[in-house]
Amino acid sequence: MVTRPPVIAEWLVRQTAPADMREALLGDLCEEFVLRGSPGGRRWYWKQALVSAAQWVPASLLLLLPGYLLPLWLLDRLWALLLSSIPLKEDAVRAWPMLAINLVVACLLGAAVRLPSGALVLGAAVLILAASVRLPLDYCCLFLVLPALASKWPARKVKRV
Amino acid sequence: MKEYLGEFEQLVMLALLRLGDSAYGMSVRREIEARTGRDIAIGAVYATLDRLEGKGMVASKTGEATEDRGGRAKRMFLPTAAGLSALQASREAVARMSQGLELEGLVW
Repeated sequence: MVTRPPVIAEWLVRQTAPADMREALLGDLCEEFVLRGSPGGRRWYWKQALVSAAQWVPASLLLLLPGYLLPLWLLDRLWALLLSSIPLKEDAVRAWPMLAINLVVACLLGAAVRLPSGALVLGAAVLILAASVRLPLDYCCLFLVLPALASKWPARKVKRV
Repeated sequence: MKEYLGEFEQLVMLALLRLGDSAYGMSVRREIEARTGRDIAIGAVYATLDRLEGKGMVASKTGEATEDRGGRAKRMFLPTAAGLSALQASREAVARMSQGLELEGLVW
């Protein structure tokens, strides 16, 4: 008898579900999985995980775009402008925009507006988007890191009874 | 201004009323599935409950944690007065719109 829900499906739910309902949802899924038993429970769990993720990811992406991409793009433009005004020696290669500072400032911006939980899944989607506009690889990796960091930020506060 | 509920929101609110103190995500899903025959995703139930809670139509509290839930606590939901009022308004709106209409046999 299988008593453990499918690990990858559980991970998918954990990464995509809003933080304030994540544990309750995983508990509910686990409860139903045990009730249904294997293999029906496993199939059912996967279906729920996929349907739920498909529902949450687009909404989260909509929040992610103005929340991360716009500040990052603005920061990138700012550093590019500042760096372009510094004269370089002949043959010197201009250093890549200040990734670390961009990261810190973007995280602070994200924390300031309390973005909803991010996820690697969302990051991957943004990575594809970033790659499609041919951003440098290390810059694309930043998009993977940010949503993961965002998931550690406090979730929206809801009044409880 | 009166607030109204969508169709699925109404189903969720009605399930909460039926379940009373034992309403949590999965029990709401089971109740809707049993009464309507619709295959409901638990994610859709939670998304709706979260939205209703955000609008102050539903309140929640942490329930018991059991072994078959992997030690995770339930999140119990109860409709608020605002939620009941919105449900009532929505049902009345549908009733008024349906009044005098005979849908059976109506084809285009």
